[in-house]
Amino acid sequence: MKGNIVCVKEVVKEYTMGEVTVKAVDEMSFNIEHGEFVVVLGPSGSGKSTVLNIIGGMDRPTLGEVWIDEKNIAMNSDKELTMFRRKNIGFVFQFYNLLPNLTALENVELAAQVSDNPLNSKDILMEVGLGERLGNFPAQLSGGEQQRVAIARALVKNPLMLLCDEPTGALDYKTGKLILKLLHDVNRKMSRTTILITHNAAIAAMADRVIRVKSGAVEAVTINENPELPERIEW
Amino acid sequence: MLILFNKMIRDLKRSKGQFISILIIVILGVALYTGMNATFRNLFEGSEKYYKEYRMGDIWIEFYKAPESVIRRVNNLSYVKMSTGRVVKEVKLSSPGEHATARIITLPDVKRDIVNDIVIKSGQYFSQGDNNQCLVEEEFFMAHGLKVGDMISPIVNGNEIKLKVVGVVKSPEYVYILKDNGQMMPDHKKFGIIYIKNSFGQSIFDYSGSLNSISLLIKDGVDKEDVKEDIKKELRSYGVTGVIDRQGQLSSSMLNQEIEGLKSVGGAFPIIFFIVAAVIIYIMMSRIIENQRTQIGVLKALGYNDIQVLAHYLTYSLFIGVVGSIIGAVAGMYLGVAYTGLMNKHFGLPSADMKMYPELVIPAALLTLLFCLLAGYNSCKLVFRITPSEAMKQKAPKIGKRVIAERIEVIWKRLSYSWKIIIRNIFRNLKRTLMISVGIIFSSAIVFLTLGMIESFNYSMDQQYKDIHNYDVKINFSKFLNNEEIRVIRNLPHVADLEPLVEIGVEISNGWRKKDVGFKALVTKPNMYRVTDTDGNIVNLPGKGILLPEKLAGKLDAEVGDRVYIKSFYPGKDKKEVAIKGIVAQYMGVCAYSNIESMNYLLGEGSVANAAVIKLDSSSFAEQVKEKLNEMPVVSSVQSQADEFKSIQNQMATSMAFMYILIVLAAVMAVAVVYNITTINIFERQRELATLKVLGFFNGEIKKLIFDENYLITVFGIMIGLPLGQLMGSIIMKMFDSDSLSIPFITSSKTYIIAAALTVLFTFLANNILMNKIKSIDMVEVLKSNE
Repeated sequence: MKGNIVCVKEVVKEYTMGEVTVKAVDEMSFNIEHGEFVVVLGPSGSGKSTVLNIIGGMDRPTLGEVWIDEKNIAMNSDKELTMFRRKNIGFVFQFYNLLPNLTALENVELAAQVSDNPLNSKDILMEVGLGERLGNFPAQLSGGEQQRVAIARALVKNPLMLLCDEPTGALDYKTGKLILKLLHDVNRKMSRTTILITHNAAIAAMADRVIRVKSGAVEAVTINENPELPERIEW
Repeated sequence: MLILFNKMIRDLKRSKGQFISILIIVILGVALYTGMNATFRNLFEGSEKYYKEYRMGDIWIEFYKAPESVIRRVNNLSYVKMSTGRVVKEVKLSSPGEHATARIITLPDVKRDIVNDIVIKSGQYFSQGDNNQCLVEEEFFMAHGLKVGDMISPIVNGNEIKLKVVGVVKSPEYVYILKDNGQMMPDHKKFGIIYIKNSFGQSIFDYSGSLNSISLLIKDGVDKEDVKEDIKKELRSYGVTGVIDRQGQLSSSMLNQEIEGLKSVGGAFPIIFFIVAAVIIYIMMSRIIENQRTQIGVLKALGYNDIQVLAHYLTYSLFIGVVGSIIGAVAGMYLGVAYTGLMNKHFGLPSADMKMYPELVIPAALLTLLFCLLAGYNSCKLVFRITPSEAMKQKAPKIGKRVIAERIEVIWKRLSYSWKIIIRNIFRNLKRTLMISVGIIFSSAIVFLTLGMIESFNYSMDQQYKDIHNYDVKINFSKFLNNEEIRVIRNLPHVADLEPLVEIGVEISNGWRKKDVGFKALVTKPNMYRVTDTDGNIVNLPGKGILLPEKLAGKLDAEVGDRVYIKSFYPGKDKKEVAIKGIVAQYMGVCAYSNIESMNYLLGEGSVANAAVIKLDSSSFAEQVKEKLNEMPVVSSVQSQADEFKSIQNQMATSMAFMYILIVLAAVMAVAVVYNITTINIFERQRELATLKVLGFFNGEIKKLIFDENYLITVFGIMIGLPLGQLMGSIIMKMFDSDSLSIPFITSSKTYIIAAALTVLFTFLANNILMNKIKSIDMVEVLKSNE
């Protein structure tokens, strides 16, 4: 089933710091379709993280509309946004942000616990290749392994979309590629909409849709008819 | 270095809440220390000055009757510096007030310097004219709203005598105005001191040319025990009934006890606050050092050496210590003045200056700085281990590992994730957990011990007035009555029952140990005036032998079955050997018990009584019966149980105020500690908490994670704090133990529950203050940067 899962309309986000008002996002608009692997590309300070946070219900726009799955979340209350995140969004961060006091399995189960129809935590961890390391604490895992746990944690909620903020930013080249492959596989197998933001232009080659942003606005949107496999990407 | 000072001020500003809460605890400690110690000094010096200026006696000798010429003989004794003879008698008053008792003391007709002199507060000393002039002790004067020129009517040998009030006075002998040590609290309406002319007193009491009391000042360097022995022998032929020194004098010993109490409060409680402040400083500084690793690295790279960096971080705790000392000392000075005033309202020392003692600030500040710097040094010595190159690198993440609790799998499996996080967090930050615990332990201990003291007091009074003594009215006679005379009282209307008593003073000795105490003889199976054993069971009086209160037995080093010697103060009585048949409990006063027959054998008094307790048909007749009794010439005083109970409770209300203040201080301490350390907890776990928010956890769920941890630690702290409070309470009660009052520290489950509930409430309050910190965790900001 095709159709717009995300519809960002003329979104403005201003931050007020004392007397200075900074526009992080300035009338940005774009659409994303169901099941797409989307890369949002832009240099640091371009507003790409801000818009991802808004789509993910972590932040609210100052102006504009944000339609997710045919609901406008731009005006939602804190509580509604929390509910929205709980149901719909799986996040993957640059620095993994696992809970240090919980094991890999527990980290995943923790997310499953607040979800309405979670997947099986162990299965998901097997899926991302960590079947052997269920009982390890984050500090006992490598960076790549930690990111896999984070991806499992995002997936276990069976979310509408996966949002990834520079997921390879803290990883070495080889590990980064493996993580990209995992994300790509997940997107393809489970046809889960995935939005990945990065400043690394090479990654754009594997996306179905590339949204280039600059200075808080969309510069160009490109549809890749034949996206590259992540294994083939070089940077 | 000024730049680094500015850096410190800004750092502290950033942790404003923590800084202020530590400061509050330091201020409370310093203020308590200086305030209590200033009060102690004011009262102590005030009493010393008062005693000196008005020649408070060193030794008092009471006897039946001696010619005035005995004074010359006493003055010639080598150790006597000065002596004054007088007549002292207790009488009932017909006005003012409802049957008050007064102690009438004679003074020279013409003012001269005497031992136990008086201070004239208003009016004047006796003039040459009328014989019947009197001076009235201020408290009694005020309690009855008297005016100079009013008339007072004591009843002497059945005759009403009119005395004209010419002046209002105070005396160092009666700072604490108690009739005897069976009375616990002063009741100025019921008992007062009246001074009359010596010549007039001798004539109305039938003592012409005679005395029954001598007060001495002794020369410096003379042993007062020797003096007591010697003077007793010297005056033996006059029927010595008692020889006491200043330590044994009721007013002086009560005053001493109160002042000593202040001293121990002034010492012990501030230390608790300093310890708690040190604990929080330690935690806060450790965190600041942790967070400023990079900065420390930079400073070192710039060429600052270890000592300079350490010195910089020590200024943080130094600053808290200095600011806390200054504010605390100023607050303490005013506290001292206010508290001296409050206490002195109670004592009425005319020479108590409400001085401030700036020099007290020095030990307070030194103590504070000691604790602050100790805590500061221990946390800051970490800087030695930080090398510039290492400091710039990313810090290794906290190692996650399993905690001991997980070994108990049955329980662990059943725990929810939030409890797993909480328990792992507690075990991984054991130091921090212990620090919160210290605050909770002390706080709950203080709450428990204050509540326990209140309860012990109420319990003892209830026991004393409801269970042990359940008479309605106690009557003291002016002489020994025979059975016939007692029957007259028994047959008064509304008297349902009567038990005769004998109350006299004796000297009990066991080997070289001696003690002057009261001696009460009761009927064999008393129903109204009863005694209990140490477990609270009512006991009968033994056929032969005596019962001793626990404390007296201890002082005489005597046990059940031992034989001791008893000697009555009545003239011409010999020492009698007697066996100790049992140990009894006694909250107020110290006296030995026997039954009346046994007393007769011991002291050869014949079957008579000099006091009695009665029970009425209904307590509503109490006033009517008291009225009637007071009209009888043989009755010297009448006391209703209910009145005494009420007056004690009223008097205690003021002392209770201090207890409640302590509870408030404990609350402040608990809230400050929990607030402070939880702030650090939240700060250190910002990232974790923000992640949970992103995952879709509600604020309420995240709040639980932090607050439940505090509740768990609180429960743990209470489990240690309450037994600690029990221990502290019994130690403090022992410290306050005296001849006039000995109350065991008794606590019921109610006190445990209330103390625990209050402590949980303190944590709840702290949690509520912290609520905003959790709400304001910003997901976006926190997750962006990886510090």
